[in-house]
Order: sequence, then C-alpha cells, then structure tokens
Amino acid sequence: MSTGGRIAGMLLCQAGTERVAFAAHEVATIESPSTFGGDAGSARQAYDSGPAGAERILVAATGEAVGVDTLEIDAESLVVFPAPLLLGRIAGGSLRGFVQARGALWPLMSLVDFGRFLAPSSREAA
Amino acid sequence: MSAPEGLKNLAVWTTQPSWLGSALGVVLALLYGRLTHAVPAGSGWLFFGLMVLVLAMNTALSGAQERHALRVLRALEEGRLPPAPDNLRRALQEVRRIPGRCFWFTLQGWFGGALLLAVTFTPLAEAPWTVGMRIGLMCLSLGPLAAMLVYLMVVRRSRRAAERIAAQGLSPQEVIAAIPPERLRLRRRLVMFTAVAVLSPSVFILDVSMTRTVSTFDQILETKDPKVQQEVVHRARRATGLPLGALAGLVVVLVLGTAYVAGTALAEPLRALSEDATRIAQGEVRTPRFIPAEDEVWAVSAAFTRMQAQLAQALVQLQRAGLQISSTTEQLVATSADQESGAGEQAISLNETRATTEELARSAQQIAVNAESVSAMAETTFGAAQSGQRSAAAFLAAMHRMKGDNQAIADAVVRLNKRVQQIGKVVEFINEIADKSDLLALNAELEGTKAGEPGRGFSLVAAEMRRLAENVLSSTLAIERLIDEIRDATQAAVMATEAGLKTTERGASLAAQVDSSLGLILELARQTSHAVRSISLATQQQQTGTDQLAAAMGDILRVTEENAEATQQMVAANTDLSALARDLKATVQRFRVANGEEA
Repeated sequence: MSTGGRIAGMLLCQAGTERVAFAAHEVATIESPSTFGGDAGSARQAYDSGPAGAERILVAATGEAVGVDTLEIDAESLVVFPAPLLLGRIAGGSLRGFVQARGALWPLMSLVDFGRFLAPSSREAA
Repeated sequence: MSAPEGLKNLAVWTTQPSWLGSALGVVLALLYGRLTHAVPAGSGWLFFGLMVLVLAMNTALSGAQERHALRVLRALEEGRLPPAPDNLRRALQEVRRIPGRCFWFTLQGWFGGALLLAVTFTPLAEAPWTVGMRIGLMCLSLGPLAAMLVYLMVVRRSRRAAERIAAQGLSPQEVIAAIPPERLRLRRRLVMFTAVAVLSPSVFILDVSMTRTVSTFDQILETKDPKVQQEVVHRARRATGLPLGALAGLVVVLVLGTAYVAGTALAEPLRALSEDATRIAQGEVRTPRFIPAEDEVWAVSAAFTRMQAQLAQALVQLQRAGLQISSTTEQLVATSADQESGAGEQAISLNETRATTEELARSAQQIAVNAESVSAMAETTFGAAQSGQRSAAAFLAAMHRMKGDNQAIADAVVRLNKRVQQIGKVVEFINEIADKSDLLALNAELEGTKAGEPGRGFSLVAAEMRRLAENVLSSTLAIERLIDEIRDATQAAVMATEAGLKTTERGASLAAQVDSSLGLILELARQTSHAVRSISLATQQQQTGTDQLAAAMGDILRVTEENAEATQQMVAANTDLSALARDLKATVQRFRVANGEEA
C-alpha cells in the first residue's frame, strides 16, 4: 500500500544479477512454473540477463505474470523515489520509482505493466 | 672171381711138412721093426699091408681135417671168397692155428693107427698079445716125436703163410688185432717138447735094448754049453752093435734135428725183432712190419710192432714238433723282446693312466659332493615347488572367493544404486513438497504483508515456514548432491567392481596357469630331484668304481712291473729254450723215419 511517497509491503526480487521490486498489493498470488498454467515472461528478458526461466512467477489479479529467480517479502514501509522522466517509458512504462532497502536501490516495477511488457504476445507485437 | 696171386696153393704148402714128419716116423718105425724082429716070421707082408692100409686111412683122415681147418684160406685160394679184410683175418686165424692142429692130427693118426694095427695084426697073424702091446708102445713113443716134428715144420710155414696173407691188405695193427697175444704157453710147450724129445727116444731105445737083451738071454738059457752061450753072446754083439748104433744115431739126428728146427722156429722171430731193434737203435725207424711168432714171442712181437708204430708216429710228431718248437721259440724270443720293450712302454702308460685315474677319482669325489649339494638343492626346489603349488592353489581359491566377493559387491552396489535412485525419488518428492510448502509459505507471507499490521504475525509465521521449506529445499538439494555423489561413487564402484571382477577373473586364470605351471614345475622338480638323486647315486657308484679303478690300476701297474720282470726272465728262458729246441731238432733229425716201401 502506498501512502504519499511511501509504500508498505514490497517484493524484492532477483532476476539474474539484476534487482527488481514489486508492490505486494499488486501480486495476487505467487506460483511456481510447474503449477502456473498461463504464459509468463521472465524478468531476465528485460535485463538480457541470461536465458528465460524463473523459479517463481508473480501473478497479478488481472492475470499478468512475471517470472523471477528469487524473491523476498519486505513488510517495512519504504520511501519510493520517483523515477526520472527519461526512464518513464522504459519497460513499457512499468517503472514506478526506486526504493532503498537492505542497503541497495531497487527499481520498483508495476507488475501488471511489466507483465504485459514481458508477455510473449506483446513482445512479438513489439 | 680170380684168386689172389700170393695165396695160390698156400694151404697145401703150409701143411705139406706134416707128410714129411709122418713119413719119417713111419720109416723109423719100420727100421725099429726090422731091428727088433718084432713082427713074427712069415707075417711081414701082412703087417706091411695092414700098415699101408692104416697109413692110407690116416692120410685121408688128416688131409680132410687139414682142409677143413683151412677152409677159408682154400676158399680165398680158389676165389670163392673175395680177399676182403674180414676174410683175410679169418684165413690168418686159420693159418695161425694150423700148427697145433697138425700136431694133434698127427698124434691122433699115430695113436689111432697103432691101436688099429695092434688090434688087427695080432689076431690075423696069430701072434702073442705082447706083439700088439709092443706095436702100441712103439707108436706111443714115436707118435709124439713125429707130431712135434710136424708141428715145428708147419709152424714155420704157417708164419710165411701169415705174412703172405697179411700182404694181401692187412696192416700190422690189423694182424695184431686179429690175433691177440692171449695164449702164453711157451713154457708148457717147451716142457712138453723136451719131454717128448727125451722120453720118446729113451723109450724107443729101452724097448730095443730090452728086446735084444731078453732075446739073447733066452738063447743063452736054452743051452748049457758055455761055448754055445759064448757064441750066442758073440753073435748078439755082432748083430746088435751096428744096427743099434745106427738106430741110436738116427734117433740122435732126429732129436737134434727137432731141436734145430725148434730153435730155428724160436729164433726166427727173435732175430727179426733184434734186427728191427738194432735198426731203431741206429736211428732208422721204419714202418712196423708183421713178425709172426707164437706164445710169448708173439706177445713180444706184437708189443714191439705196436711200440715201433707208436715210436714212428711219435718221432714224426716229435720232428714236426721240434721244427715247430724251433720256429716258435725263435718267434717267442722275438716276441719276448718286443714284449719287453712293450712292457716298459706299458708301465709308463700305466703310470700316466694311474695319475689320470687318481685325478679322475678326485674329480669323481668332487662331483659326488656337488651332486649331493645339487640333490639337496633339488630337494629344496621340490619342497619350494610343492609349497608354491599349495600357495598357488590357495591363491586360486582366494581368487575364486575374491571373484565371488566382488560379484557380491557388484550386486550390492547395484542394489545400493537402486536404493539411491529410490532415495532420489523420495528426495525429489520431498523437494516438491518443500517447494510447494515454500510457495505456500511465500503466498501466506504475501497475504500477511498485504494485510498490513494485522497480518504481520501471519507473515512472520509464513516467513518462518518459508525458511523451513527453504531449509528443506536446501537440505534436499544437499541430499540430491549427496545422492548424485553416491550415484557417481556407486557407478564408479560398479565399474571398479566390474573391473575388479575382470581383474579377478584374469587373476584366477593367471592363478590357474600359475597352479598348472607350478604343477609342471613340481613334476619337473620331482623328476629333477629323482634324476639328481640318481645322478648322486650314480656319482657315488662312479666314485666307488673310480676308487676301485684307481686301486686296480695300481694293481695292474704292479702286475705290469712284475710282468716286465717276468718278460725279461722269459726272454732269457726263451733263449735257453731256443738252444734246447735246436738241440732237440738235431737229436730228432738223427732218426730217419722211412715208410714201408723205402724199407
């Protein structure tokens, strides 16, 4: 939940060597690739950090899903630093800002947008 | 078949003297009758006729007996029998017996004729019985004398006849064999001849003297006149002197002639023997001849003939032996000289041989010692081979057990691999469960986080559960890695076990080969041990034999040295023997052995 530049509940994920964070309230469920029935893009694809393949799939309430390698749930309320405009369009406009957690700066991505961006049909269209 | 030339009329010629002796006796008897006036006056022709008759009968009877006694000789003469040695021997035996038979034929004729004459004349002439007795007495005195004379004359002819028969093809040895000198009656015969030669004339003269004396005394007693008696005596002296002297002279001549003939018969063979003996003494040995004789003289003659034959044969052999001894002795001298030098060389060689033999004995002793060592080593090798074979057998059994154990290990590893795979599946199952648990815990934490503060505790529990699940996952991951390592190790173990199995099989095969080879080695070692024992035994025997050889060589050397000395002595002896052989040769050559034809 975001309250005036702050957000509580964060999913801190790793996609290869890259970090990515999602707001907990966007994630409807966490699936494993074996149990997930739909198509899900891998966050590695966005960073070109190795071949696709994820351990966990974050599924939004609208059905978009993003695969990550690992994830941690941080229930603390963190400050969301806004992203520069220059970066507003990258990743299909899914970058919402940055959060500082655990001594590092994490890009906060919209699961729905990022899921759409990484979806195979959208990528083919792009 | 023709008769042999030398036997013609031999039988008649041999017995011819019997007629002469008988005729001489008859003449003497007639002279006796004439002198003694034994035949009564007027019956002279009767007496003469009867005497001729008796004489004819005796002649016929004696002739028949003599022909019968010489029947084989007569058959040979007439060619009815071949002059074979057997027939010649029978004829010879007949001729040798004929003198004695003629003696008895003559005596038988005189006694038979006298008896017949006395028996027939006395009654026919009506003479007193004393006339017949005097006829018998006269025949008893003249018969043996005539028979002896016949014997002595026939015996000489029988000798000639025997020589002629023997000349037909009988050797002296065959003659001696045909007439063995068995009847040795010379003494008895001489006694009988002496008795006949003395007694017969004595009886004869006694009868004449007594008859004349009695007649003279009868005439003296018939008259008493001394003048007439003197006239009777004077007439008796005149009438008796000359006839009695003539009669006595005739008797003496007869006796002397008989003695002469007897001496000649006895001396002839002795003279021949003396001649042969003298010839032999002079060194001339002829082929022995047949010297016929009787009784002991015949024994001497036969023995002399055999001795002469043996002597001739011995001399021939002696001459031959002398020549051979001479040449052999010369060869012996030469050979002895060679042998003497050879004995020296032999002694030198034997010395070298003895040294070599002693060296050989030492070598044999060393060989025997080495052979014993080799035998001990062979025994040790045999024992080691036996031990090796037992070890190889044990090794082979161990290899078989190892193969079995490896096979068991391989089976166990396979089973372990299966179990590990099962464990992997279980771990995978656990991993799935843990992953699902992690996913569930993650979603639970997400929900707790989304719930805000109220879900905080739930998030903590979920986070804790998530850590547990992650621990399980990490553990299962570790287990999987361990399982992978175990699987790899198991696989390596399987491969190692298979390799071990193959190696064990190769080892077992090699162990079997080693066992077989050791068996062969054992057999060879046994044979070697046996052979070495045999060699050792043979070497010991060889050593013994070599020792004996060395001792024998020493003996041989000693004997050779003695032989060398003996050879030297033999050379000297052979030289002496050669001289003796020359002397013997010269001595034997003094005898000249001639055959019968040369003689």
